[in-house]
Amino acid sequence: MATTSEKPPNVFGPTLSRRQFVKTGGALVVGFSLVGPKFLKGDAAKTATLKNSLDPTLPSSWIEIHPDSTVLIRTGKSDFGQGSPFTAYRQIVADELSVPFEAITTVVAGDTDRTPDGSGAFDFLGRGTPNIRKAAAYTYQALLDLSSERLGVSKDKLSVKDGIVSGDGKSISYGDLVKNQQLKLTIPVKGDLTSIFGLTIEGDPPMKPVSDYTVIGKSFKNSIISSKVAAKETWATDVRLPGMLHARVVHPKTLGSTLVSAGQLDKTKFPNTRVVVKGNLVGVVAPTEWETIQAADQVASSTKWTEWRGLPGNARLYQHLREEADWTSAPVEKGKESKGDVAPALTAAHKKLSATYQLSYMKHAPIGPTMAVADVKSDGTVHIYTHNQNPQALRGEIAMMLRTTPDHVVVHAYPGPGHYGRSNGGNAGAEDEAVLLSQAVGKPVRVQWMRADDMQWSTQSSVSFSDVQLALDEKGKIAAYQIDHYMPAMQDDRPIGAVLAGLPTMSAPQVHSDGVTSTVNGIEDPWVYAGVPNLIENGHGTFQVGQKASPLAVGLRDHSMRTPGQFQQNYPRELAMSEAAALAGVDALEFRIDHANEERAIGVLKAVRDASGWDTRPSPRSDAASTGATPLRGRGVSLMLRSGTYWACVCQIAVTPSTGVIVVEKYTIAVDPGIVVNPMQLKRNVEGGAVMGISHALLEEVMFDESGITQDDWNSYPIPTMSDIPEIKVVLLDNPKVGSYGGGSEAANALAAPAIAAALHDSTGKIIRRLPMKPAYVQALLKA
Amino acid sequence: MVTLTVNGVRHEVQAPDDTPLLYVLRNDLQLIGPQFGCGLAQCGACAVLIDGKERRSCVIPIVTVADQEIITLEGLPARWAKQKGLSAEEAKSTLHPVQQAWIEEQTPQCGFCQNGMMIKATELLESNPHPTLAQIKEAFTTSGLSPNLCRCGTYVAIIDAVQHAATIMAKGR
Repeated sequence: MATTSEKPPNVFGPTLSRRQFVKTGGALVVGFSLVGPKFLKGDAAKTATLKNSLDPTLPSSWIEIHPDSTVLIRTGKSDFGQGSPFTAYRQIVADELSVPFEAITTVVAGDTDRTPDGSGAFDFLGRGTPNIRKAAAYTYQALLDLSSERLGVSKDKLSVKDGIVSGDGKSISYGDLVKNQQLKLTIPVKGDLTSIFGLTIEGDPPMKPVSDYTVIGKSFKNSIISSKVAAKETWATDVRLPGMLHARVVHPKTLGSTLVSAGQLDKTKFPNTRVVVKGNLVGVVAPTEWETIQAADQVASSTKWTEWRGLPGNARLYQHLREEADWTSAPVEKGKESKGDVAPALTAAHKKLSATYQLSYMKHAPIGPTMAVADVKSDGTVHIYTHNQNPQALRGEIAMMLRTTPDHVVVHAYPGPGHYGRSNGGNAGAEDEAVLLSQAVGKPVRVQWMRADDMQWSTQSSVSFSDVQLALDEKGKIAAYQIDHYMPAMQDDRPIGAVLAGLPTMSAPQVHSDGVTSTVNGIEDPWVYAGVPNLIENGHGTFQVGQKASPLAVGLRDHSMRTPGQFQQNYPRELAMSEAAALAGVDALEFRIDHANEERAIGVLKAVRDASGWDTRPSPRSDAASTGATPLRGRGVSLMLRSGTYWACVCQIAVTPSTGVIVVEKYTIAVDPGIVVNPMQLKRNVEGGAVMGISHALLEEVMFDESGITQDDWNSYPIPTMSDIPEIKVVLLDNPKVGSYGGGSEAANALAAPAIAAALHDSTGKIIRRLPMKPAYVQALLKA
Repeated sequence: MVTLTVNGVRHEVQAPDDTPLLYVLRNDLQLIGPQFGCGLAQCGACAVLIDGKERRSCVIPIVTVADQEIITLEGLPARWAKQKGLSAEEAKSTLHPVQQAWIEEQTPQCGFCQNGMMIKATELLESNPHPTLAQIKEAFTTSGLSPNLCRCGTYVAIIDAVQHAATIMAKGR
C-alpha cells in the first residue's frame, strides 16, 4: 500500500505538499484492507487490475480512513488549475462519508503507482457521479455494516455526523471502527486503465440525499494554491534526479522533413555535450542547461533536413478543406436530436438564411512549454516525472513505444502549466523524447521544449467550417434548421518523439469505430431549441491537414482543446440563431427563449438578460453604421449546454470601423450547473474561461505556410493582456432541485465568440462569419 | 565565477558569465519560484526583483547583476518582515501580503505565471500603495519588458488580489 511518505528520490525543495497538505498529526497511515464476497464478479474487474499497482476493487485504493479518523483520497485525474481534486472532490467525499471537509487531509492525484482509476483531467465532476463519489458511497455502506456489527445496532438505526456513528445510545468513531478491522466489500470497476477514459466504478451504491449536504455548496479554499503561492510546491519543472542530464530536441525543419544529416558538434565549445540521433529524432544532451541550449542551437544550425511543402498554407486553408479534403471516407454522423422533414420546410421558407462559418486552428499554448524528466533504468523499468493530463494513458503510450508492458512504466504527476486538453490523451510532447534520450545515454534526462518547439511541434485545436440552412415561417419562428459541420480529426495522441524515431505508436487518425482517434466527426453540441420542428445536424470528418502527405505522417496534428468539438459546432449554431432573430426582426435573446422549451435554458437566458442590462430590441440597432473612426456599441448573446450545465453569455462591445478593432467592454455570464459545489472555485474558473473565450474570438489563429507553423513566440501568437479584459460579471444559479452537479471548468471559453460576432452585427449591421475577428478581417468586412 | 546576492544570501556561482540568471536560480540555487515560460522576456513567468524592480531572469546574464540585490518569490516574506520590523519568530509564519492576498482571493488557476504576477504586484505596491484599477492594468501591461501574461485568464482575480494586498499592507500586517 502506498503511503504519503513516498516520494521520488532526491527531488530537491519542499515536501510534496499537494500529497500531504495538512499534517496528519503523526498518525500511522494504516488503511483497512477489505476482503470477502464481491459485488461484481467476472472478467471486467480482473482485466482492469492487470495494469494497476493499486487494486481498484479495494476501497482502500480509493479512500483510506486512518485510526485518527483522518481520510486520504486518491484520483487518477491530475489537477490542471481547476482545483477540483482539492476542493470539489474533498467536499463530495466529505458529504458522502459524513465527515468534515478538514478530515480529508491528503489527496493523491495522478501518479500511476498511487492512484486506481486513470482517465484525464477533464469532466472532473463526472456528470454528478465521479468515481470518487461512488467509492465514498460504497465505503460509507461498508462502514455502516461494520458499525452495526460492532455496536450491535441494526444498520437502519445508525446515523453518522462528523465521522462518529451513533445509534441506540451507542457511538464509535470511524477511526476506532477501522482499527485492525477487515471490511467485506469489493468495488466493481470496468474499463481500460490506460485508455483515455480509464476505469469507471460500476454499480449503484446508495448516495447521500442532496438535502443532507452540508459541505457541498461552500467556498472551501483550494489547498494547492497556498503551497504554490508560498513557493512550497514541487512542480514538474523542479524535479532533479541524481546524475540527470539536460536535453533539447532539434525538431525537423518542416512538418514533413526527414533527416539528411545531424549537425556536427563543436567539441571545443561544448566538451560535455552529446548528440543523440534516432531516426528523425535529434537530441542534444549535456550536464548543464545553458550548455545544452547553446549546443542545441549550434547543432540545429548545421543539421540538414529534406524540404517539404505539403500544406495548403493559411491563404488556401478553407479552399483546401472545401474542395480537396476527403469528406467521404468517414461516415456522416447524424445528431440524435434530428427530427422532422427539413427539405420541404426549407423550400417553403418565408425567409431563409444560408451561410458558412469558419473557425481557425488555435494553439493550446500553455504558458510554460512542455517538459519531462525520464529515467530508464538498466532493468528496463521507466520512471517519468512530468505534468500530464492523463498519466495512465501516457504510461500505455510509453510502454507501446518501448515494446514493453505498462507495468514497467511509472508516471509521477506534478503540477505544471495548464494544457487545456492538449495532454488529456496522454502526452504533451516531451515525455517520450525524454524516455528515448534517457535510454540512449543511460542516465536520467530532462527534456525542456523551448517556446518555439511548443508553438510549432505541439498539436492544435482543429480548424472547422459549418454550413447552415435555416427557414423562418411567416410568424418569424424557425421552421427548419440544417447544420453541416466539417472538421478534421481532433484527437491525435501519437507521441511525437516516437513518431520521429519511427517507433510504435497508436495509428494516426483514421476511419474506425472506436471513438476518439477516429476521423468521424460526432455531434458534440447538445441541441437546446426543442421548439424547432424540423432539424438535421450532420458531422463530417476527415484526416488531419497534411497527415497523409507528410513523409513523417505528421502535418498539422490536432488535439482536443477546452470544449472540444462543441466550440466548433456551437459558434456557428449560436451566431446563426442571432442572425435568424435579426431576419425575423425580433430580439435575439427573446428569440432563443421562444425556441427553447427547457426551463433551465430559459433560466440562464433570463438571468444573463437581467444581469447585463440587456435592452430588448431587434438587431442591428437603429443607428448601426459600418464606417467612421468613432467606436460603435452593440451587444450579442449565446447559449450552451455542456456536461449537465447551462450557460448563457452577453457581450457588450465597442468597434471602431476605421481600424476594425473590437473591444469587449462588458462580459456577463450566467451558469446553472444544478448544485454549485464550490461557488468561489466555480466563479474563478468561469472568469478564466471568459478571458480565454475573448482571446479565441478576437486574437487566436494558427498561421502556417506550406511547410509548417510560422509562429514561434507570444508576439506572433498573441493572447490577451490585463488591459484587454472587460468588466466580467459571473452569475451563479444554484439549482439544487436538479439533484446533481454539472461541470464548470470549460464552456465559458466557447461562449464569447458567437456573442461578440452578434454584437458586431448589432453595432454595424454586418455579419462576420469567421474566427478570429482580427482587426484586419473586421476592417475588410466593413469595407465590403 | 560570479557572486550573486539572492534573498539576502551571497552565493559563489560556478557558471559561465553569460548564463541567464533563471537557470542559475533554478538549477544551482534551488530557487524554484521563477519559472521558464518563454526564455524571451515576453511573458513574465521568470520575474524577480532586482534592486526593487521587476526584471526577467530568463534574459539577464548573471555577470550583469553580480552587485545587485536579487529577490525571488521565496524572498518575499523576509522582505516584508524586514520592511515591517517583524521579529524572527513572527517572520517565520508570515507570508508577504501579496502572497496572503493571492491565497485569500484564490487567484491562481494553474499558477505557473503567478510568480511573475506576485513579483509585479510587489513592485507596484511598494511604489504605489493604493493603485487605481487603471494603474494596476498599466503595471501588468506596459510597465515591464512585456505584459505579464496569464494563459488561464486570471486577470480579474489578480486585480482583486492586488487590491486586497493593498488593504493588508495599509493595515501593516
